[in-house]
Amino acid sequence: MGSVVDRLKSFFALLAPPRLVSWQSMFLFGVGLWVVYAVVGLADPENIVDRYILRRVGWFFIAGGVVWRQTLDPVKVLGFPIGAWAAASVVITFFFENEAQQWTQTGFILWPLLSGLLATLSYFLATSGHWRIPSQLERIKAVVALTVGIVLACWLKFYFVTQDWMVKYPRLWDAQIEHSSFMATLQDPRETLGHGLVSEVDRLLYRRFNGQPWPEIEKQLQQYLTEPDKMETELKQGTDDRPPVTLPLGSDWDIQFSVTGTGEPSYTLTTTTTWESPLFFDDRDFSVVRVCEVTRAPLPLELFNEATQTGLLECNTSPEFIFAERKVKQAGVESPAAPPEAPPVPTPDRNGTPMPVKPVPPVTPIVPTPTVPSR
Amino acid sequence: MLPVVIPLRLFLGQLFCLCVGLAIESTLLLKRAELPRQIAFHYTLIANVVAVSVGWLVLFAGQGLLFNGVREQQLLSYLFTGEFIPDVSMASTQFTCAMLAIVLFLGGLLIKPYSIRLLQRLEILPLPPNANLGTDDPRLNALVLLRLRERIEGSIQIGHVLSTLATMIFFLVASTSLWL
Repeated sequence: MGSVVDRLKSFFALLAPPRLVSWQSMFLFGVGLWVVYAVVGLADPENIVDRYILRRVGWFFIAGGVVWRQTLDPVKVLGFPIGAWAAASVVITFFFENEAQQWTQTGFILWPLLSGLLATLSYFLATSGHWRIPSQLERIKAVVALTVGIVLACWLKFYFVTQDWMVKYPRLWDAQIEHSSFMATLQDPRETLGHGLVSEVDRLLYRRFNGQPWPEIEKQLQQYLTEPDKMETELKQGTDDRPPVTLPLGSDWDIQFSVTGTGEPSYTLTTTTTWESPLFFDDRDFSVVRVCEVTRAPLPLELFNEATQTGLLECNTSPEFIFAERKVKQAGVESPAAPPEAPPVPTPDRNGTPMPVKPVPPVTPIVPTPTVPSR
Repeated sequence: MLPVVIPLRLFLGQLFCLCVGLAIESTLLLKRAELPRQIAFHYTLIANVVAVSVGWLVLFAGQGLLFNGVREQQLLSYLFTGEFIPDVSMASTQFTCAMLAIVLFLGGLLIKPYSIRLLQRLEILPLPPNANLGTDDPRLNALVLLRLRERIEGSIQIGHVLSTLATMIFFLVASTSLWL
């Protein structure tokens, strides 16, 4: 208890200005402007302009005080100098903040650069406030700080470039980013829980429908439509070469399977894998949708007969479908009437006809299905 | 906010390549050019970080040239899913990838010695202590300095080749072991 009081005392002793022109007085002036800002806000909440000016000028003085403090004596936490980073973040908050009080993209990119510059500046200033020539080791440190700042800024810029690509090609959300050697996803752990199950479903779909003879595929589709829970029971009980699938933490899961299309150009299979959150206090479900298309595989010329006609499965995770929209645009003539997005696939009518024959457009585009948690 | 796609593996791979380059090149400077330990480390650290930052800046400068047309889709497909799009013409992408690899390798080979020489001129990096023989003859001193520079730059270039080979072999072995 006493140590806390001592620490608070030493903290306020640090903030007491030793003379009039010092970083402490600049910092305290900014804090005082903020107090005025708060008082004006309480007295007259509709006075936006004056409050805005007060807040900005307060930030300016606080930023100046922090930068001044940093250049005099860089602050270190666990041996790592963070003073430059803190000062740069304060400066960027002053200059690069949008209306929603968030940092802009430019601000993020400039942050490491500016902190490298401030770290370099601290080597050129003596404690007395005069300029000095840094020593040999400090010059090397300054160059390393600047170049590492450039590299970090380039990393942030590349991150924003990838976000632009995700906006330009929204179907990249469906891609299997686990297979990439450059990208990684940060996801809700409740959502990554079912990824083993989803890859098991993928494997089952490929085993059943890829490279099999075409009549065999149609028979399989009939079977899956007459027994809607067949895929689920197959996975839950396991086959002779596959162990049964269970999710970690024992959460329950469910698979819905539906088929559209006449089979003339193709069948479209929609597999929705849904699993429950393992936490007892939230009843959210998470789901991943795979929209796959079974077509007749192109035949080699010398084997042109019906017996060797096999099927080809392509899902919305394959790169062809991720970039398919632009491919259609480039081809131009093939599908002028095809809409860019198909209407959502209706839920299967489990009591009706086994093979729903619906009038679908000849080229069935794949619905982009971002794997967001469904409530 | 979640899920987010971050090029995290790219950054970690770059850090790994930097560490391998640092280890191999500083060892070569230590043994072959007989520099002191700290100076060898500083030389390789600055050469590598400068090369990486110049590479990123050149990449952003040539971004519009690199990512256009069919090539953009192919490169994005490789970046995000690890495989190229089949049935799309690969000729341009293959040429681009080969040229990128060659330019990265040769650029590192050129930039690393040049950055060290430039920073020595600017008196930011120190000259090694074995450059000073203590003689009064300026021509002899210049000759010694020239020989030493050749030695330093040669060992950095050899280290660059060796570290490139080492990272290539590492990633080859890692990918095949994943594949098997």
